[in-house]
Amino acid sequence: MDKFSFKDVLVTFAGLFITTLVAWVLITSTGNNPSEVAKYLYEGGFKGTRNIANSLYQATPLILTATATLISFRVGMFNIGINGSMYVGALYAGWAGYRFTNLGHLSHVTLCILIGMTVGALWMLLPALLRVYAGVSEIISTIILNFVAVLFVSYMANGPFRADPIAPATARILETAELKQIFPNSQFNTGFFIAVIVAILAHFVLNKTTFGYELRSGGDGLVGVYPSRFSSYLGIPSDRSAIIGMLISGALGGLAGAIEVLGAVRYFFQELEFNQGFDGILIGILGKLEPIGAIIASLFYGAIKNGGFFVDYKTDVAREIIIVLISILIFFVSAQKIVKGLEKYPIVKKLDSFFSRKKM
Amino acid sequence: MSIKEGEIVGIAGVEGNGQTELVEALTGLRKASRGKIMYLGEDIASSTPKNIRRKKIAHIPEDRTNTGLNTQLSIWENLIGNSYFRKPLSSKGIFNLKKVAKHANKLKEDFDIRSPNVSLKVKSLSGGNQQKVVVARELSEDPTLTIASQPTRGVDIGNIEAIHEQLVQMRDEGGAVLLVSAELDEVMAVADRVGVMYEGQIVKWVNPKEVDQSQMGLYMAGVTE
Repeated sequence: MDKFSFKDVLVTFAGLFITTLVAWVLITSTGNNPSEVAKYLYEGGFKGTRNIANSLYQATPLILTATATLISFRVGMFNIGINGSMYVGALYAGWAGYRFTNLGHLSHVTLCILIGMTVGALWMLLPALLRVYAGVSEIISTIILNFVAVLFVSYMANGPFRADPIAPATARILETAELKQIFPNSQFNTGFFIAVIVAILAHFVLNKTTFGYELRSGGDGLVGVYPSRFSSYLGIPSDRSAIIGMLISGALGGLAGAIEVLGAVRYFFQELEFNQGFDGILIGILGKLEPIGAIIASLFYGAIKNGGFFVDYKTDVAREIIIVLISILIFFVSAQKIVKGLEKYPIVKKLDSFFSRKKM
Repeated sequence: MSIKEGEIVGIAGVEGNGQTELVEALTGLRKASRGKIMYLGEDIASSTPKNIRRKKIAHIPEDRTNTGLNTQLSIWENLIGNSYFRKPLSSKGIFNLKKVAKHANKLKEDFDIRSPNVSLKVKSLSGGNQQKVVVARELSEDPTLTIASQPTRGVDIGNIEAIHEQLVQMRDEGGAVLLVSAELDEVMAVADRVGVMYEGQIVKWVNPKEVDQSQMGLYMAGVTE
């Protein structure tokens, strides 16, 4: 039920502390001033309406890709191909955005999103079927499909869908297909609310419905365990669970791509680059494979990612430093032995049992 | 072979003589290559595990950690594996978590599962307590037939007694029990009738009160006079 305990919070903060120390050393050794970097990181992430809006914008696709990844993990499939789903979802949502005319705003946006989700889901159908009926490891097939997706969308933007004679890009989406941007000078758009609602819905379905229980019966850990003997023993078709889980996972990846195109970029071009699918894996783990945790972790990640852009702009430190920092953080947070090591202190044990009193 | 209500039938034999396959065929986890399994006048030989479960056949599998439980799930999630789909635990596909908690805590008390609460993951329990989770779930639905395969493997002495008592209680309440075990003492002590399995066949039916251990040993080695 509730997987968050005081110990986890403590470990996260300990991880943050260690990460800060490592960052301090890294930044100092490259000849920069760490306190200045910290200041800009904070300002870029949290100061002023525009920066906050941009942080939320950065978090939007991450919420969806993290939820998509954790759903696949929890049905027992190790799906790392969300980035591919995101690409194809973005391409086809963009295509639907200019292809269908004479539609109302709501119906056009809905249609584009549904097309993006369907294509994203279909993208995951192949690895799911290969896993279930041919025994091909979904880890390998989804990694390969990530590359295929990049080449495929680049071909489509350069060939069949190309509209611009100068640059390899599709036509701009119609105004009826746009997700509205609310704040001036910010790419924050209404897609953020879609992402949050979808994640909350995922939380409800996974944890509170029998459908979610059937999906999870074959997995629910970081290590995929499909095909699950437990599921078949209970009479739950684990093949069906695995395929449905992968389809939902792919649909959410497609949704992330669709929102990116409909809400921010507004057209698809060959050089459009996504890496939120990979970040989503880390964020899903950071959020303890819970959608609500994924929202919180995405907001945090989005803020420091945006802060990283600000640091890049204001100082000599490259914004890639943020990726280094996040990786170090994940490294410490996922180090289970540290959690175990903390248990020997009685104060931790006491606080842990106090904060994680269960309702059951 | 046949099992009637109100009796415990034991299957004894050296491991690897077809006991696992027999149980898997009976519970639908493996397709029977030929023959019939008649249950209350119905052939269930080609039925699915789901349909067999709905006919009130319980199965305590020999492989606890992979088949009997998903150790990543919590205790309550493992306890409701055979009853999650029906009222009062859920209605229209949505869990009533209060009823689920009540159900799970009742089983925890009844079967003496030692754990501070039912939200802990099953992997944090000891082997004996894990087995009690399996037994609690399987016996909670008032099964007509209970198929117990190695039900006390890896369980400590106190809990072995408790599990035996529960099987005997199932019989006394009019249920039928099939007990498959490699522990000869267990089969001899609990079962009313014992079939000795050798190379995939039941070679001898004995009354456990009338034969001694050495005689059983000969039967299990395939010697039937």
